[in-house]
Amino acid sequence: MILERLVIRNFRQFKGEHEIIFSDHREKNVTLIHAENGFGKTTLLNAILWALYGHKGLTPDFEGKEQLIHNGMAHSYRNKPSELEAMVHLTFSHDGARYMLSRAINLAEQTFDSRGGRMSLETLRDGQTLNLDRPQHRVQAIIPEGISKFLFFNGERIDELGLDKNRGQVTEAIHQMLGLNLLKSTIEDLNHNNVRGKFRRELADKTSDEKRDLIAKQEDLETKQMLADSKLSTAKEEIEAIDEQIKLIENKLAANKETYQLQAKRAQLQRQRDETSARADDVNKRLAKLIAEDGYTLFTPELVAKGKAIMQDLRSQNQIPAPVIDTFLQQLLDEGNCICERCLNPGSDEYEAVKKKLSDAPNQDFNNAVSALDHAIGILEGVAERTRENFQQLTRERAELTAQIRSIEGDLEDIHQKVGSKDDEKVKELEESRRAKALKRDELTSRCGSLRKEIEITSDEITKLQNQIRKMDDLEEKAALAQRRLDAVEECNRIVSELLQAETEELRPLLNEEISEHFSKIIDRDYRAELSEDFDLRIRSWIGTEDDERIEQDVALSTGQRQVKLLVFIASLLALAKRRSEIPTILKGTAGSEYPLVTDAPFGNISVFREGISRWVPNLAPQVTILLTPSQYDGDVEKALRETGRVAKRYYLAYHGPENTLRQGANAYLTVEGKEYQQYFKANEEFTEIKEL
Amino acid sequence: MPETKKAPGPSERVKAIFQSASEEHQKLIREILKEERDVQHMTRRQDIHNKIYDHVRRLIK
Repeated sequence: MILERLVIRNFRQFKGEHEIIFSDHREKNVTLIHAENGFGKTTLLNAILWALYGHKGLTPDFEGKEQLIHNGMAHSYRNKPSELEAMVHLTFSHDGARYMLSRAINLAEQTFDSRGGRMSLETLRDGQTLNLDRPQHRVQAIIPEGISKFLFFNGERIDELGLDKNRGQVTEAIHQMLGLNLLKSTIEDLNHNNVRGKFRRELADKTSDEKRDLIAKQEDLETKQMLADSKLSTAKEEIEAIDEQIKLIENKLAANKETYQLQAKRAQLQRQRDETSARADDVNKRLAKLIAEDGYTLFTPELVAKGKAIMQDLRSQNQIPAPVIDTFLQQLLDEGNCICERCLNPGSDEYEAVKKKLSDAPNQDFNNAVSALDHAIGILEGVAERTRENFQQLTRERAELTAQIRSIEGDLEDIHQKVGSKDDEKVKELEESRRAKALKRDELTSRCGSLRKEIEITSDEITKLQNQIRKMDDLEEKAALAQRRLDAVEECNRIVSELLQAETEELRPLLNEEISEHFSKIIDRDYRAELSEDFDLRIRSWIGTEDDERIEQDVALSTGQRQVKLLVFIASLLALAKRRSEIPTILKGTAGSEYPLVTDAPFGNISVFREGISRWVPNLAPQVTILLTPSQYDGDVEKALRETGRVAKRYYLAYHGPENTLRQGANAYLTVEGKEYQQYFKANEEFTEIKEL
Repeated sequence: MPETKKAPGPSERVKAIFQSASEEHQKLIREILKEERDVQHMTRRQDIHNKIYDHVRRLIK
């Protein structure tokens, strides 16, 4: 998806009709929109989201969602409400087609229900404009709402995307942007009751009673698994809802003069705890992997010592290396000639002498086995040593992280006690409510763990039954055919699932490489990004130890570095999706797509890295639109963006309104590239215009 | 710059997985994916289920 044109009419402060033409050149892919705070940046971002997803697409920080039509005009049209409407029109291209999306709501509709309105989606085909049915579904197919938060966001609130916590959404975004959702929907369809279930029912109708019973048992297990899946999804949704409620309570505590300092400290500690817990999870996983793969070597020293003693014994008896082996002596006897050229006739003294040696000679197989054992003992010793070292290091790391988590939990408990013992009744009430919700969340989290375990066990049982059913031969031809068809569905499902896994796993290092390269450049450190198997993004670096060793560890990032990490992750994903969209894949249709990046205040809290961000992000994403204040567009950013040579279009928001509505620090004039533009106009009525520079 | 980097194409591993399937199943997977591409945006899946069912019956004799 590449944005081409935005037309906005009477949407909030944008009175009348305004237009933005986005730059769509590959080499000049940046559109800048300059605006002071309060002039309409957030509204502009939300206008795009509203066009795409309607009311539910609006961002949480967009206040007054029920009033989308310009306030002053709404007042003037109060007696003829169907004649005034707010409208957003978005033209974009996607996978070779051009789309025109419009969404509108009139005053009468807004008064009745602001979530209403009308939308239409048209496409150009063979020079003709076609109106597409089910426009919302088509928009969702092009750019699912789940990934929109990664593409259209407020840079100052990038932490709230929850990338560190919400790995499900990250995986979904990766699958969608890299074109792997086709494989996912295929797996779901093959598994559906209308496909696999239907073939299974056909088999059950035609097969033996014994096999029918097993099929029924398998179906029962699958129902059980589906139920557990559904319970898990519900629990996850409940956790998300509770998290939102807790966030609202914490915002209120942060705004209260009695508690704002304690709440700020709590927010910082919670972030530290989440990061530390994630690192502890990672260490636990690595530990589990080490134990599963090489753990047995920790129990082998006694065995190795015994093996070495046996070897030593055999060596001292000159049995290894064997001077002569039985197969050689047997060959001499068979051929009837000794190496000293004497004849070995059966019954002769020479023959009997060689035959006697044969009975004492080491066996060839024994010799080979001893040699292999000797080699294996050497390897085992080495692996055991490395495993022991890694095990000790990881155990130490885990103990340290656990101690840190305990200490942070203790500090958090202190804060809870302090806030809860304040005299202010409102504060007490908020803290109690927060506590109750946190307890409920913990209970749900624990339930999720049990459900995951149940799903895992049931899944294993299903696989065992499936194999058992397959192995039972059918005597009837019709039953055998039904079994073959069911096998085909299950085999296709297995292959497509493996393809999805392989594609995902192979793209991960490419994404890591992309992120590492750009993250290091922006923050100017030798750090390496590592996206784990479950898409948890860690930044790692090599550090020296007292013993002159170098070990690689997770880096505890500052707030600014964390924001850079998230921004670079999104931009790198877009870059990879773009590259993937340009190549043919083995299964046509699984390529990625191009997506735009529209960000409000991307340099919000990352002032140290703003120069790097403005230099590298435009190079990664295929199309970038940046909304920024004059103070964010200061010397470094302006210089870096100019040097990229990628800025093709510039707009600014001009605000009209009474003087007392102008925010503190906002200037009446905007200076860009040495030129001044009037951006504030004194007027009685408030409204904003979009002007091209 | 993205343009200067090599585009990630199908790897040997991905090719090997696909080719590990029998000719019959490879053909079936291709047919199913072809149908899937046209209905990715649809939430109602009944039609695609019927199509997959028909492809399996047609190709697996």
